[in-house]
Amino acid sequence: MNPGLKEWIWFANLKGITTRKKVELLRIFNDPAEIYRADAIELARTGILNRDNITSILSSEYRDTVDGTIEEIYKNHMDVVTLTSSNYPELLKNICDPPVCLYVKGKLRADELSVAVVGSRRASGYGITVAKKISGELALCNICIVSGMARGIDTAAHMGALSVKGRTIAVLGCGLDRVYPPENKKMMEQIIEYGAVISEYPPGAEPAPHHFPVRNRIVSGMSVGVLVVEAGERSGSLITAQLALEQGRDVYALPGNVISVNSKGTNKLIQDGAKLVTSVQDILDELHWYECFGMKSVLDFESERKSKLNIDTDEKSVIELLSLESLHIDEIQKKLSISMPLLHSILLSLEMKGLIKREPGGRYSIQI
Amino acid sequence: MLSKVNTCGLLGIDGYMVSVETDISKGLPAFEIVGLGDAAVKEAKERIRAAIRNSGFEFPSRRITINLAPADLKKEGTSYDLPMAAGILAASGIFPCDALSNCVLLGELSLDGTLRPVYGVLPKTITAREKGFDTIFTPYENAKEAAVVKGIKVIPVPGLSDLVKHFRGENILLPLESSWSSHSGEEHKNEPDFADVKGQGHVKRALEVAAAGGHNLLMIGSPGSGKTMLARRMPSILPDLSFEEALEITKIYSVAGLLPPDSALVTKRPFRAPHHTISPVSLVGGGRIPKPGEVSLAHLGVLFLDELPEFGKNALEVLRQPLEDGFVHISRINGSFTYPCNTTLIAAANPCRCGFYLDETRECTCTLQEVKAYLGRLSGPLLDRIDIQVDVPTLNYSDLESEEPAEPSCIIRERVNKARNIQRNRFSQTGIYCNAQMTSPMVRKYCRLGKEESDLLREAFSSLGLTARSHNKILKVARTIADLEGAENINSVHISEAIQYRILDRNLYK
Repeated sequence: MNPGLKEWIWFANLKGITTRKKVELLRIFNDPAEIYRADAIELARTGILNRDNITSILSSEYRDTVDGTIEEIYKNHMDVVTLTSSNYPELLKNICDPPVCLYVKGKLRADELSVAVVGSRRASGYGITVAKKISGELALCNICIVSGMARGIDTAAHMGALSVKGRTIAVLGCGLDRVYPPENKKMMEQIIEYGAVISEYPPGAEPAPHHFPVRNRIVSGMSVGVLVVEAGERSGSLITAQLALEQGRDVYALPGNVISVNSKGTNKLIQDGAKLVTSVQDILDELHWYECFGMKSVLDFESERKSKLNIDTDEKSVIELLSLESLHIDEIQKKLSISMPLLHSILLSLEMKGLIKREPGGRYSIQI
Repeated sequence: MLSKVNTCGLLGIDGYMVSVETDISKGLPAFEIVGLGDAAVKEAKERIRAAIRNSGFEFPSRRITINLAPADLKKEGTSYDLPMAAGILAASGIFPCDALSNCVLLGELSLDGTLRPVYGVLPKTITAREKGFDTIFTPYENAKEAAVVKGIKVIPVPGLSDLVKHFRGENILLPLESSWSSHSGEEHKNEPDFADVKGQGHVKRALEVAAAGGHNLLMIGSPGSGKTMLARRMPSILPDLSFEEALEITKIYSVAGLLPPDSALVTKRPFRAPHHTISPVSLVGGGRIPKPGEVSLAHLGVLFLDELPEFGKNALEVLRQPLEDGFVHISRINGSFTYPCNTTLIAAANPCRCGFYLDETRECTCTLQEVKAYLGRLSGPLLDRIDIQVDVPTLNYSDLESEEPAEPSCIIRERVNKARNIQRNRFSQTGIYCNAQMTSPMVRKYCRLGKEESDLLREAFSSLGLTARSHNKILKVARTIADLEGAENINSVHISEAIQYRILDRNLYK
């Protein structure tokens, strides 16, 4: 066990003191162990703490619970990465309020080229498809995908990276002994295997609503850029984008249908100057000076695979139609005037070839 | 003196012969009815006494004993009034006893001696004919119903005194001619028609397939997408009723007392749409004296369950066996009864509690778990019995405005009839009549696939994540689609379409 670990954890878990103040304190005292031992006068002399802060540092309340937290950490096979650890992400260190301690399951690396992919929890089929595709392609280029493991786009982003066995990191808003949302249990295990699940909250912390905006600064802080795939008008993803700008990160946004609620936020981001992304290449172009990290240019497996499939004329006309917009089977039938039974078989055949996708509700869209 | 009158009782939807034996002997004036009659039979004493007096005869002030044989079966209802009254009049010598020997009497008496309608006349008439009786006397209102049965003379009786005059030979009552003739076309006249529904082509197609093969169908879609409207038009494309089928339906309605007075046969396929608060008992049948439930009332027609997930869990689970077997067996203290229920289940469900999940124009307010939980209320075994599942999208305005005429029901029905005829020929020796009823060995026999088709099916299973339980359903539906086309063999287009009707298996909603 790391000799100073107890004090680090104690310090990280102190409530009532902002992370920013904690970082300043660490600059003055060098080591949390010294803060642990400091008396009220020494603490007051720093000039950054108010009376309540000092009381909470001196109180025994937090000192007594540390042992329990450490026990939990061992029980759950977690690592603790502190600000001074060698594998604390460099990029994250440079934001104004980096987390003092990170609880980690999996492997965390100090210098890693990461891109955050975030978006709405209630994503559309379009958003999910694109998030998966771009994340997968980024992962193929040795770029780590950072996201929040929430439902919708976050899940799609992790899945995209996992589908090509690429690295991905999930930043949680609760203790690592929790799985939130619960349906992602299996995926979380995979993320631990291929990357890491991290959190600044100690084991046992609930997924409280106010944790998530705070968590978002880590998502953007760890990454060189943030891709917002879909976001409503007042979405948490827009907070992440805002934080990314404050931290000096790039913001990329996926354009969407102007009518769709899910694309209001991203289209607004583009209006405000975010980089419009239509393919992975648009992101790679922005990252070209990071090639030293071992980034590869993307290989075009997809178009190769598609050119091999044989598609007959009817199928081709359906694909042409669907590449304009996603359509319901009735609408396709009306436009092409093919008989319903035949259309069913064309759609099934295209779906099995992996060229189109059936969404719940009976809509069909192009699989990209 | 002793007299014997024939009448009929009811067991489930079948009748049985009851002989009403009346003995008038010396002794203190008394009136006893034995033979396990219910309260309505016991109360008949007062009706009979008044009816005989008010018809201008004298009620014998002697010891009267009436036995309803067989005496160990429970008798219920008021249809024994007329035979008992006739028995008393014959036993007291008002008219000759042998006039009664080859006829059956049914009817409730009112105090003035006129007859009132009773229920279950059709099955009773059928029994009477089977037992070789040549005449049945029924109340006026029931005569048309009875006249449907050929091979027995049906004589409507206005009142007790008219019956006596008839037996005395003073004023002969005339039999009612069988009024039922071929009825095709007529009965669909005022029904809702598919021509009124704009758009929704693929749902109409799915309903056509369901009608052609007798498959159960589930529609999933937002409120206002027209699920109910589509389902209500289902009877208009169901195959024409044969005489035997009409008879079978009428029997059930007759027993349930739901036959409109003065009507002969039920000539339309029934469409039953119970509300989702229905209890399990009213759904499958039951009660102290078991009556047919909604599934049986929908026999050979459509049982429409709107808002399927809102039905009580118990109500849905009791449907499993009847949907599988085509009959319900109900046991109660008063006996056990079997009611047929070969019905096509058409169900409709919203995709989530608020209904707007997947709706493009309105926002869904449910959480993801709620969405999952909503359709999750439908148990696997129940969904197993639903061959076809379709989504019904919300219509956009241009669809509603479109002037393009939709296909009318009568054209669809023609195709359905054709497909049903093929099936009837195929299954003529097997005791079933449509593809949905095929058992596994029959599926193997009648749904043989070529190499190309089985390859397609195998590939679809692995690439679309279908479950094993859909395998036979897909084959059955594919068979129906082939029949609609008049094709001998199932080809890959048929299989493809059938696969498209398995949306719930593919976890598209989960």
